[in-house]
Amino acid sequence: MKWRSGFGICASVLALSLLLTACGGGATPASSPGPAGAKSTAPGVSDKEIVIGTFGPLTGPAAGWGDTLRGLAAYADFINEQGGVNGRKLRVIIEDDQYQPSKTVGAVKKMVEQDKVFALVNVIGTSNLTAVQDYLVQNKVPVILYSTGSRKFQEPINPYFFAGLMPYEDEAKVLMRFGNDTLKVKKYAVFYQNDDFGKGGLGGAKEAVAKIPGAQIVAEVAYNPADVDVSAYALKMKEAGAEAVLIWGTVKHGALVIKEAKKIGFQPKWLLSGVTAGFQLAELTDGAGEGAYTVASTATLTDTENVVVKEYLANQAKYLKNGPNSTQLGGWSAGRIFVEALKRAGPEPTREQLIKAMETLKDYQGLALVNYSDKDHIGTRKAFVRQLQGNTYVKVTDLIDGSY
Amino acid sequence: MAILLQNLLGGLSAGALYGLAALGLTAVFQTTGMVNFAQGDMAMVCTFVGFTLLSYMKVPYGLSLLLVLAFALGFGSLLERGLMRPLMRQPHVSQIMVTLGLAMILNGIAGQIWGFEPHAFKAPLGGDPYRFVGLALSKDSLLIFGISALIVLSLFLFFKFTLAGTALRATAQNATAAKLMGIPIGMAFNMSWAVAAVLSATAGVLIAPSTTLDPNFMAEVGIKAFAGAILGGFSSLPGAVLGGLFLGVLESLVAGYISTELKSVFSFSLILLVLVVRPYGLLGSPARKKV
Repeated sequence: MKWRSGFGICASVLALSLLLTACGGGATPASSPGPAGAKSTAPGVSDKEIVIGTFGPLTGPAAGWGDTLRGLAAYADFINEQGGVNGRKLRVIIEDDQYQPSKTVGAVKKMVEQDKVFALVNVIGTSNLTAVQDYLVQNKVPVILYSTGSRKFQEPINPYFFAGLMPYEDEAKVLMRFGNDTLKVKKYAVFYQNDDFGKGGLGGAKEAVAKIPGAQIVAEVAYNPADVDVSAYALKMKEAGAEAVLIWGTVKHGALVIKEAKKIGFQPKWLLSGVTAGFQLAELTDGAGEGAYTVASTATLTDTENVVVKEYLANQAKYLKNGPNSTQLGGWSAGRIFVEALKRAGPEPTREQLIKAMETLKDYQGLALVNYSDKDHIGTRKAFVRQLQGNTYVKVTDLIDGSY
Repeated sequence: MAILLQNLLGGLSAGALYGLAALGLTAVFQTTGMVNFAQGDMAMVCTFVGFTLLSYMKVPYGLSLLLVLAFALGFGSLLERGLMRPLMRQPHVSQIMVTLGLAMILNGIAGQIWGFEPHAFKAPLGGDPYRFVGLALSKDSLLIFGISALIVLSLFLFFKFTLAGTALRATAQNATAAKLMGIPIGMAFNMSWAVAAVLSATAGVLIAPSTTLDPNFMAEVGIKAFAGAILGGFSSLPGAVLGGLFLGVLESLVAGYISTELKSVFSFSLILLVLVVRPYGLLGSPARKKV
């Protein structure tokens, strides 16, 4: 009896949803590129505006990264003030997922189904994007410049996703190349956070060791984000005889391990991921981080000759309440690349045309020179090395290729 | 050998932090008969107040500490009067729920005020660690050992030999009987929260230099402190410190000799094992719950 009524409900729900799908299909024609001159029928594109969406943490422990969403929105305001793109204003829908993947799912479904966004731009978080990856691909929603360095979204290439950051693996390889060629270091330890991000750094180090003769990893030390005490880790790396330590973790744990190492008289060369090399590092290590090296694929606030930095700094105060900071700059830059692709997609853009336009970006000058093609959606694979001197990270090399 | 000793020292230094935080938990347990989950976040708020005084208002270190402790006294008292007093007659479960809620509220507010980025907090002593035959131990770790011992001793004396201490314990055991004996239980309750806040603030300002300060910094220590307190016996003050130290050393040895990734898994498994054998902890006495 129970089974039968359950079946009845299922059947009617199914019938209803089929009906709705049929209606929906009738109401919204497919968004394939129409003949030249025809109005775009892509979701989110109307005569007056183009709706785009983004998600990330605006509240909660990771709220600091939310500034990149504000940077994107500010760039949209900046463009709208100049008349928008081909006569259409940009409308940015921002969803706060508090960095929780379960919330990302709801937020993305809302943006795709209710708000009918044309594309997602500058979204944050490896786990968050993983949670909605299949859904977005099924719905053919372009994700322009996701803000994570996890390479897994492009293995194999995802036709709808374009990476906004250099892969963590490539960043580690740049540092290892620098360590070998310039610092003449052979014995490396890797101190990494026990998650996708940390393992990306470790993976890169392993790939580098396979390519660089004589280089070896003498200690792989994982920590958990909840760890309070890192003394055993520092000791382990000292004991292993590491001459350089790659740190793939938060600023906080990077600082803790650098401090602890100094305490026990362990003074290797420090090679830090871009995430670890936060502006607070000098203060948090009480000076012990002086001279640490880090990898940077993009220009930052102090590179005032860069066209994006210049534009951001000139307009930042007008469109944003706080800042300037490098997180906002990242969002501004992502918005800029999206708009460039949108312009190239023609007067009546469709999602397919947007993707094709992204793939035409060759040595396009953003915060870095970005390159996309139909074979490669990663964008940036070269970076230079900076060194912590006082309170700032000073550029000490030219671009090094991390894709070896 | 030097490696083993350095691992032990590292473990003891971390364990001292756990033990110090655990002291606050057990002290509240002894005086109110409940677990205060907001202890860590109260410590966090007090530490941020100290941080504001030190870094923004440039108040000297010693004076800042005194002001923080004074703030904590008022803060704890206020929380009790505003939040806990109305619930005094409610079951402990409800009170514990309120402390959980309070923890989240404090965390959220602190995040809005001070942001979620980590800050450096000034260490009481700082400077180079003591070094001997290749071993290193920071002066602040020693200070934390000393202060923990001092707190244990003074609380022990307070509970055992003063009238107020006895009154607090009596209130925790049986509020009605205590009231009948003429103990102003509202005041007793208030006092225990004020003391708890002062203990939490002490822990906060001493722990923050080694963990960095952000709104979640005590959450990480707090879990370990909780485990340490349970291990040592929740009803025993020296037990709390000992449990914390034990956990610190255990983690350090597991990380050093077994696996860094499984540090917590191994340590907590061992704690479970200990508790199967001694459910009341290492130094605790079997609970005699009076109904």
